[in-house]
Amino acid sequence: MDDVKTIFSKREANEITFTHLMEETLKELSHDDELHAFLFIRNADELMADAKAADNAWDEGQRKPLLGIPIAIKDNMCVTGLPCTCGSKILEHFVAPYDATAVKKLKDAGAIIVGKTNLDEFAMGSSSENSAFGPTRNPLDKTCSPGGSSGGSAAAVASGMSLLALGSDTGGSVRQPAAFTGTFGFKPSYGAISRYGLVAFASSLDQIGVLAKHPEDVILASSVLFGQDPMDSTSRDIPMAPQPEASNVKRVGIVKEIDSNMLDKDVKHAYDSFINYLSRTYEVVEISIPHWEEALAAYYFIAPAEASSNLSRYDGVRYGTTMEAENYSESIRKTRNLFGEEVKRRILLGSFALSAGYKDALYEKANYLRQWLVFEFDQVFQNVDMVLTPTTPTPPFKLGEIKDPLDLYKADLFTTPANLAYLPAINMPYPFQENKKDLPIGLQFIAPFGEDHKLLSFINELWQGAEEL
Amino acid sequence: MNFKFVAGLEIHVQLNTKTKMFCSCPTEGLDVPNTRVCPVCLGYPGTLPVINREAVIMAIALGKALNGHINMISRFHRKNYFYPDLPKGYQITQGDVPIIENAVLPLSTGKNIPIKRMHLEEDAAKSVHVSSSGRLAGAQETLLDFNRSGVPLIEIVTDPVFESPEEATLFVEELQATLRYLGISNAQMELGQLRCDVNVSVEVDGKEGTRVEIKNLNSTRSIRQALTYEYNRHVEAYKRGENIITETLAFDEKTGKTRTMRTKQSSADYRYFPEPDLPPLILTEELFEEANRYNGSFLDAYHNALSWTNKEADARTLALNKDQYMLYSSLAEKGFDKKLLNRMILIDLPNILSEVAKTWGDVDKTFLNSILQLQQDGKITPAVAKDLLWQAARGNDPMKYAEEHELLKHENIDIKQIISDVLQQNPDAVEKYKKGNANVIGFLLGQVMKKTKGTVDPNQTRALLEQMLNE
Ligand SMILES: [Zn+2]
Repeated sequence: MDDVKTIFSKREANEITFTHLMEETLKELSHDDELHAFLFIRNADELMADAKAADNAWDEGQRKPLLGIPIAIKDNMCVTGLPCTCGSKILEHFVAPYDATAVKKLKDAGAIIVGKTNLDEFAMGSSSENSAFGPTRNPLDKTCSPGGSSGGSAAAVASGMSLLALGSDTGGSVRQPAAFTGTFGFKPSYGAISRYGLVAFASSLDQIGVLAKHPEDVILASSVLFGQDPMDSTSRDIPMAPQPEASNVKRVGIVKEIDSNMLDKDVKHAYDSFINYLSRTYEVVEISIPHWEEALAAYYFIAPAEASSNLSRYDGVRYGTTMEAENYSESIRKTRNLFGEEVKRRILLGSFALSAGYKDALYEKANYLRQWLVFEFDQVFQNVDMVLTPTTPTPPFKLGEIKDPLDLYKADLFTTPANLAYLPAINMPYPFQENKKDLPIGLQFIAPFGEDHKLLSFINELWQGAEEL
Repeated sequence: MNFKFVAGLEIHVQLNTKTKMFCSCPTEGLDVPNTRVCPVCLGYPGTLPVINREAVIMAIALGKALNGHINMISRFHRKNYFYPDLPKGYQITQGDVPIIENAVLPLSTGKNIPIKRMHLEEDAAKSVHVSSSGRLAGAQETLLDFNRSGVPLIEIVTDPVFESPEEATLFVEELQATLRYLGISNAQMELGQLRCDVNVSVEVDGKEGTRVEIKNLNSTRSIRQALTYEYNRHVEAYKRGENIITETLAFDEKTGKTRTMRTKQSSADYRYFPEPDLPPLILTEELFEEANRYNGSFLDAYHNALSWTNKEADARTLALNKDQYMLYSSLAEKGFDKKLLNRMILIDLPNILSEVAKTWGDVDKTFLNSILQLQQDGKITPAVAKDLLWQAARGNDPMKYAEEHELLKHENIDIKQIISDVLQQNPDAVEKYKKGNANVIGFLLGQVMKKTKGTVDPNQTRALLEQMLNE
């Protein structure tokens, strides 16, 4: 599928229309019962009407950055009038009464929202199997997981059901599914995109991210989405432009603490060979992040702690599903029993981490480690421009393959540090697969805070360079 | 045995900002339930709090007024617990670092009451318990009104520093007045704008007693009654050799007694942690400057009132009632005689207002001005002045009334002529007087006053009457 720039030039030359584009998209969407990327798809007539309106606007001379472009939204972001289930029974019938800031910006930029994508319940998981409404399949191999929690968004983009998709990334939930589906998945610096309207999982780690097949589309969408928002006090202005520019990257760091022997052999091979490839053009140096390994443990206390509080609002009193009972405490107990196993597990873990007597040893200690990690990245970026890691320790796993939640937590091993350290990071598909049928392998680049545009420009350079080979 | 009363207060004050603490819903017009709400204050998924700048400014103003230590950087925390009136399942409040610490409220008595901390937080929704018949007794259902959800609060906490129920009550009264003069809260307890929890214990021979908590006292009278009741209850129990148990109590205004709400401090674990949706609250020079807008002072008012009335009790009463004080002050500024003002503002008007069930806000200042002017010019007597106040209170134009009923003293009134008329018309009374019955002079004076419609000075007239009778 073309990137947005190509689509616009074809539209300019009257080779295609947005109506055609939507017809193609609808054709793909009609196969979604196989993939289950979507929990909700907007009515085809409505979508065609939106595409027609975009064509009319274009013909009248309107030029908006995403005019007529089909986009999918993860079902944990509010779109006025559309369901927002978060993949949970507890919000099964909840309809959002307002637009998330990111959604509003996409609408203002002319994008057409096609539907809401599947996810692990409340974004907690790395396989999309924790959705209360059934798992999503990987379009590249339907027996495999597309990763998670933004598995639906990744599958939608990979299968051409939308050009772009929004995901949310708390510990890797955009980058890991991108790695599993061979797409680009970008998690910006913390605060770059407003979280207003993103249903909170762990507020200090959550960021809205972009999934696309082309790095230039990631840049374009980011330029629409970035910006301080008065509705989100943790948001801030981070520079972003619609086009890439020369990144001037010279030195790339690889993390000493990553033991490449613990990587899956295909991942190890891709990682090693890409390092080799990089070192022809860039200076590749080994760097040390001493608290790299502890980061995952810190993440698994901080995220559940915040989640246990963020999810307290689901009591069935004001919205969502209410389980009626004799009295309030019985009703809230029954209602909250609608949460799935993983959500309950994390609420319990988080409540425990914050409880008197354990808070210092768990929650406070985890935040202390987090501060160390921030400091260590800071030191590292004195010396290198970017840091490279594999995105995941393994290629896509089979649906149902991983039974022990702790094993699944390890899928986040390389992605959580960027969330903990507030840094921008992106998954880029390993470009040199020998057999195109092989499952994708993901490479992750992490950049200094606020250097999102440099990171995306660099990825664009790398991708174009690799394609020319 | 030696008994000593000990109490500490925890007071919640609603700030009168235009909008709520973390969203832009208005804080006025809350009468119709659930009409002043939005996704944020209903705790909808995906919403985020934004700090109300004006509430911060008001907190700074209070901190400055009470000489507190104002933390340039403070933090908001989440206090987690489940309750139907708490939409997010947590309250956003301030934990380890409140915006103000170690303040002092100087009482009009000259004593300084230390305040431990004051912090910003959000109010919860209002629960209304009703039975199926719709009555509040035997409530079976709870209705929720989220209009109050998210209204800015400042919580004021003292250590157990109060030595008597009267002192605690005085503190609350003068805190109320302080907030009103500053202009940051209306602090009306009956409207829930100021809510008071008290912890109280009784020391026995210098040994700390068991502390109980009394929740939701909603008038200063209740505070004094509840504390007095508890003190006596503790003293009686200790005298009998019994123990007091740690518990939370409610005060019943009808019986004047406390009753158990819950025994044993269920050691609630609120799992406080820093609110990740809000950056630290960093105060700026600009905010401090803006806080100067709130600058009225109760103590200044009290000292002015004292200079006018020369009586501590009168001065306190006047200063505690801001509307009454403002009225007095504006009339005093015009140079009216303090004796006239004391009589009108401290005695006549309060009686009349309570009689006709009106408030100080209803008083028409231009009428008062005119009436005082007439009095000052010697055109009316105090009795007429009071009569005119009554007319004004009943909605009549007092000036017109005075004209129509010829109540104004006229220069050309011939009092001697009137007296001699009265004497001529009442020969019997004159006869009685001459036979030594001095009592009839009251009757004769009444006749003169009637003819003059009270526009003459009664003392002077009486002297003149006696003089003419003796001639
Ligand atoms: Zn609101």
